[in-house]
Amino acid sequence: MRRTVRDNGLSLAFVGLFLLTLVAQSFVGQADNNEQLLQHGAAPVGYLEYISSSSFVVDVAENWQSEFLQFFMFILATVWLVQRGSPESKKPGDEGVGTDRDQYIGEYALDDSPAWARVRGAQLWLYSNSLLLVMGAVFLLSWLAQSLAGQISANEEAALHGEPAQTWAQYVVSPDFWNRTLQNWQSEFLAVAAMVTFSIYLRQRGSSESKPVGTPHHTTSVEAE
Amino acid sequence: MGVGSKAGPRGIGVMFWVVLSVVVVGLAVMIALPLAGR
Repeated sequence: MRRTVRDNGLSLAFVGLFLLTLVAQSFVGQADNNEQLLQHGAAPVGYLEYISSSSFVVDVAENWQSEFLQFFMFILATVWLVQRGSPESKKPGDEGVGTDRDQYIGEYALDDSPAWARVRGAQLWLYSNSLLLVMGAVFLLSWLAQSLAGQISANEEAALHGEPAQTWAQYVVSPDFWNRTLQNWQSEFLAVAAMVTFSIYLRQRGSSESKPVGTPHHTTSVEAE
Repeated sequence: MGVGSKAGPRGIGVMFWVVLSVVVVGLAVMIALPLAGR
């Protein structure tokens, strides 16, 4: 048991933080939502009603989609683009999907390689791109959830102001939808650019996200290994 | 699919399924609630 917890410390810590912050968001979100309702002379909503409302869902989904887009873009971009000196990058010259030997595919598979790395055809293609495909699917589905919940939430707010409701097709080209979307995307892209470039020159001793402290700036962690 | 089937140290595969379940259930709820008009 102790060993299982230690072996999974990173994922357990972040799943725990996710649940704690989601619950915290639900309480402060309800308080914020009720403040706005009271300002418009409408009745406040209870906790269970709030967490099953589109107002809560749209706030959760808009952040989900941007985080999964961030990882989708980072995984895709690091196949073809490099940043010399960054531990987040392959070394210059290694751009591309790599050889079968590099990737331990087919006859180059190791004794304990995943079963789908030994086969050829569609199954191998699917497994070779499975991380990108799953991240991309979660991005698209959470963006869809944002659009569906955002439409209902925007229409509820419009009703408070006596304005007409929007259809889903109208909502997905509206300023509200794109403001919610782009305000999250810009921060994710800046964070990736910061991580890629700051990690060339800056270090965190002991972190797998950093080069070892004494590694030269021009050396990527891949080269150093 | 074989993911985690040869995980070596025991228990690695469990977290894959825990996190995947959280993501799938979260997506299903977030799509179903607005479709139900909530």
